Amino acid sequence: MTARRRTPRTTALRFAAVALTLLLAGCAAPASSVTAGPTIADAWVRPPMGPGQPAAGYMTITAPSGSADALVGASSPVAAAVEIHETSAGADGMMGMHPVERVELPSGSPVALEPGGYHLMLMDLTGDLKAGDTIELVLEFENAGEVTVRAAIREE
Amino acid sequence: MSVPTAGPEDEAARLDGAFRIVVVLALGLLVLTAIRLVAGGDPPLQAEALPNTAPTTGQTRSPTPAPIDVEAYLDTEVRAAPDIELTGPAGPLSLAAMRGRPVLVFFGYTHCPDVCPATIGTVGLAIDAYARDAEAVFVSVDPERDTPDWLAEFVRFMPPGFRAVSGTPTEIRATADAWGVRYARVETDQPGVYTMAHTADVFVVDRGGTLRARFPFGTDAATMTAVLAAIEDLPPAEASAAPNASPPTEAPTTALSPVLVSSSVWSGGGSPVIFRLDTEEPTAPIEAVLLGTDGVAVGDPVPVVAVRPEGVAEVSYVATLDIPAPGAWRVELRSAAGVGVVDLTALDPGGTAALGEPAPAAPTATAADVGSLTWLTTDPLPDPRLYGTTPADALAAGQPFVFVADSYRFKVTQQCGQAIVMAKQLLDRWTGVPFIHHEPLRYSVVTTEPVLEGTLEDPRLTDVATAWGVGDGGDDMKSMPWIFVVDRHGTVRAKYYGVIGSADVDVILTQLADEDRTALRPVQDGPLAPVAAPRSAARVWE
Repeated sequence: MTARRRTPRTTALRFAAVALTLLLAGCAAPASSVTAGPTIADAWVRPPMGPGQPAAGYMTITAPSGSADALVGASSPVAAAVEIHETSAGADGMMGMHPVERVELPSGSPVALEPGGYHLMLMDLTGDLKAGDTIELVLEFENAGEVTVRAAIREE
Repeated sequence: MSVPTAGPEDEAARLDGAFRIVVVLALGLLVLTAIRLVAGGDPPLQAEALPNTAPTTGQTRSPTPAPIDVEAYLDTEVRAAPDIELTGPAGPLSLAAMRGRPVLVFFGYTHCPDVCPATIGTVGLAIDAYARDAEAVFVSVDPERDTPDWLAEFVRFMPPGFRAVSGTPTEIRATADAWGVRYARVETDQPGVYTMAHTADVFVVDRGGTLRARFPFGTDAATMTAVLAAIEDLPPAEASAAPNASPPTEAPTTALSPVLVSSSVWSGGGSPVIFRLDTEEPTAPIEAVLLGTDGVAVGDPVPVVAVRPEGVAEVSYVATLDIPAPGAWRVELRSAAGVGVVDLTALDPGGTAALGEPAPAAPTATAADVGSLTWLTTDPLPDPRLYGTTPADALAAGQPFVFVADSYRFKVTQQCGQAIVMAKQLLDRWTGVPFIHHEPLRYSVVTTEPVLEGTLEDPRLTDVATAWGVGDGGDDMKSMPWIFVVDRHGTVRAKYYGVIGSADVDVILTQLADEDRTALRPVQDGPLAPVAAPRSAARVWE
């Protein structure tokens, strides 16, 4: 880099560039995001069915247009561990549940984590989850990194 | 949206290009931001403001609900509901004793975080909306963990009108069988931690005790309520239940009450069928006869072998049956103590390696052959024991072996990867038996990543997978995972597909060990053995 003499004009340029950066950051919005983070809608957690039982977390995740991503992990301050699971039906009609490494998020298409499909399993809860409260979920995306959302505790 | 354009020519001349663009953009964004703020504020930053995604009640379903097709949920063949006589927190519970009220019945387990709580919630809403006297019975398929004491805790978390019942493994299996409910224990990758795969239908029993309707998983509460209301005025089932309720030729079935345990029964030769008997361990020999649904015997009686895996309390009974065709069959068990009949459905095994026939000789590679496990498995945490032996090695050594055709990464069905998990669990228990995992789909390794040849919709099978008939399970290339159990003589003795219960493989391996009268036994109280088993030094086959 060659050193450039700082003229009023370059100073103004720098200022404008900084302002632009700040504005771009400030404009990041779920619907028309200019940053590359997936948007999360309607995150909720069903309270566990009894002491020591896991709780299931659901939401809809949409990767931004032109930027596919994948959910690769999750954590929460209220659970010792959070796993991504999928419920599926076998050929014989039995429904089973198994952990998955990742949930693919195609560019621009909403992916639902919902009962009977993908869900987060919050294990070894550290406190009571009461309907009406909210908890924090930290979602880890392959490209976008960590995104923190609040999830409502509710039954349905 | 009006965005300021470039200023007058003389002013533009004093700005270099970059500066001008930046200023234009900045001004434009300022305008946009101002508009947003005026129009109700900018949505908060996700990472900063932790948006509380408020509940949208009623889920994100279609805003205009379609009319409910009640008929679609009604049973076409109406019959009396099979009774449930099990134990709840408050003692014995009988479904027959609940006559006079409609009852919703479903099967599940309390350690189930997704399907069961969702069903409980929906059924609770339906009962609430019905606003009359309906009740619900939750039947546990997990007697090991769902003891009556535990259910007492559980019911406190259920809506009003719910009862939860459990029983002995045999009682529960018999109850589920009568309702046409299937379930199987499925291992997880944590030793000793398991889940239950199970039929998730909700059954509707009317006030007169007639089984009227069933709801598949995901049916909404409004539909359930509508069906509850619609069955109020239907005539009782006695008339229609009568014709098929009197097979006069049946011998008394009091002595043996067999229930089916096998997670897959195949048409073709030599399918092992695993039963439990609702009696004390009978000392008299038992034999099994295959019957058509008309009650006519097909083939000769075969001996039934009693098998009790190490550390497992219940005795299983195995009959190896030649079943001529897929579909509905009956098996009659006979002993000096009496007889018993059980219904079963045989599945079409397609072109998979035939039971009772020699196992395919196609050579598999081992870790020693290729140097890196990445070429042998897409499992990110591979267990080296799954890649140390070939079928040929096992046969040369006179060992039975288990062949697992499954892919962790390339999931052509949702069950893919689970057979590998189960094999890892059983390995700890059966250290004398080689478990051989094979990736059935061709892939290459680019740096360290497995890359599929073809697509998930149109994959390419390996020669080994083709030899075993994997991917030829009837319909298409997507039949996976498979587990094959081969005896020391190289004969395929059992095979399982899809959701595979670990107890099946455990029973078959125990049977093979018993047959050869070897000292081979599971060496530890692994995930299948809640009762501590003595650690045996003799782990080798022979």
